[in-house]
Amino acid sequence: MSSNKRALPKGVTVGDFDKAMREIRAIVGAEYVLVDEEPLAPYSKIMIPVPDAQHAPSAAVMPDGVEQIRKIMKVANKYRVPVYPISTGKNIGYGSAAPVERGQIVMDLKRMNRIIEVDAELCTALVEPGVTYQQLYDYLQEHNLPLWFSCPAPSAIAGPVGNMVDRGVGYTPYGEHFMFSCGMEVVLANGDVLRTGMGAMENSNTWQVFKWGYGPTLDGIFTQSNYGIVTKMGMWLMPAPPDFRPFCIQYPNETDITKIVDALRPLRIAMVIPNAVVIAHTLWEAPCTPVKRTDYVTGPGAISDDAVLKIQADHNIGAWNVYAGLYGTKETNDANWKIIEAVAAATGGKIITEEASRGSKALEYRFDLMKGKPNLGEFGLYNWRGGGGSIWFAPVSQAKGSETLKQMKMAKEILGKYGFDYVGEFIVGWRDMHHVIDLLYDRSDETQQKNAYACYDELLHTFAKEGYGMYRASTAFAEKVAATYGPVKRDIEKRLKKALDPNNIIAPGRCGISL
Amino acid sequence: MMKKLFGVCTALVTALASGQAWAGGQTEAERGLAVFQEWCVSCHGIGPGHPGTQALDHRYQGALAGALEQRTDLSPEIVKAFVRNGISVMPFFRKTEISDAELDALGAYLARNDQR
Repeated sequence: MSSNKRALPKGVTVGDFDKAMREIRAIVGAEYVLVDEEPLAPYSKIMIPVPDAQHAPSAAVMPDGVEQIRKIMKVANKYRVPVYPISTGKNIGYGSAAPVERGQIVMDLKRMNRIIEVDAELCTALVEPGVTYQQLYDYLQEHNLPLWFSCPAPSAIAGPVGNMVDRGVGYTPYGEHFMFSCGMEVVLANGDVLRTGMGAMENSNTWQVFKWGYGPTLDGIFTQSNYGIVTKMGMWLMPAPPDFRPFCIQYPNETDITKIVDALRPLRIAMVIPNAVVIAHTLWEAPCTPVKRTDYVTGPGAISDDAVLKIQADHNIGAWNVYAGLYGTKETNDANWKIIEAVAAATGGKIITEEASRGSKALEYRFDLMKGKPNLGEFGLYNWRGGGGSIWFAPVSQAKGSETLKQMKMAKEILGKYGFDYVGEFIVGWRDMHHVIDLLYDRSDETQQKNAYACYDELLHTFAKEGYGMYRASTAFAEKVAATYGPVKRDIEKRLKKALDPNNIIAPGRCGISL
Repeated sequence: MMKKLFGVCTALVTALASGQAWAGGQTEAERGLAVFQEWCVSCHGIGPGHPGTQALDHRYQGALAGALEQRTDLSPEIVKAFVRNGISVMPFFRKTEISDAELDALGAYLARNDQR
């Protein structure tokens, strides 16, 4: 079989590449190795604003387990061919299933899709990278287990390992996913298999219940990095509460964000509201309602403030829409509900309960996400601009009203300058907020694609000057985002890479780490 | 899950009525419906709240059905091309997600009403 002419790993000859692929075929079977352009198409489609060629893979390989991965590591070291591991491959708007650098071999772990264990008493699970949230949800339903997990918006097709490894977030009380992971199995570049925490001990039965083990805790270095391939992950599940009371509070003005955040922060820190609260802007709600952008905007450029106000009035959408829930017993929720009503009244917000929300698709998918029920309702966002372009701009903010208003204004101004809409939301951790903005553009329009890249670049550098860093970034901006965190951190990351992966074969360039 | 079971049962009845059942009691269209329920229905289901259906409604403006299960002009080949490559805002699906055999079944299911 001839090798793919479109892309080869950097510095690797055609001859060595072909030899490597031959040896990998012998490991995983020919049907699980792709090198031709057509079958590689799913590993090439990206939504980020750079040319496809920049992230074109040379091949895709699909191992079925740890032993095959260990053998592939040997081949990769021998020929110095870099592999780019993906799990469910749906990190859409952050790079999808395409490699961080052109020519890398995608290692698709989707075949490893076993739910290895669910412990209903301890409320833990151990899963492989190919498991999707929908699969886990169906498993819990089929086994009649009253356990919930937290999932991100594209949960029906994405999975917990990949999301946790990229430090993604969700919307239940377990919304900070890495915080609620417990124990990893990692294949290192030399083929060693590390189990973190208590898993390092033989015969341990505490791997999924105690994170730290003895000595340095290593789990963190395998997230947003390229130091190993995570092949199993423990995660904590939440007992379904006897009473779940989701709600939305709508606010009429953009500047209301200050009082919203300052009023909610104490409730979140004190765990009166235990889940990852979302504060969504009008233009996040509109596409999921659904509202058509073309009904309000003609011609190029960003949507006007007047049009946004008209959307709010026409469709009963707030300038900001707060989503949160009470998780407890009827008695505790009754007591806390009085606090919610008092806060809404004092801040000028309008509460929409689950009963009152019937028929609203935007509210329905949010309420489902707050109890960990997978769906794809948020994909409505992609219909807003159309054309398949999206890149997430995701700075961290303090959970202080003045800070959030400042970030929102900065972002809106820069987006508007390039002709893009502010489609943003704040996801409240405890003391922080993930300010998540979907920079939506028409990827079939070359000018818009270039503008989207330039816009992200300006957003990144303007925010960095103010001391605001990204919590997560796409493969197109990995290097630039890493650079905003300064040279000392990067030097240590490089030294770790040299120690753990001296031939630079696992996803070089991911999160800006390479030799 | 109930929705899935209901869908599979409906397809089974349809398949048996049309005499297409395989030895194992399943038609290709029935297996295709199960694939649709697992991978496609979140976006392409019938009715509001399905972003894929919404996008196609917007694109066709009534000239064609937005919901794929109501289309009468889909061929297995076109289904396969869109699934593997994605298009515009639609993501791709790899053979590790939907196998080639499952994709054949999905194509048969969505093309079952092809009237061309």
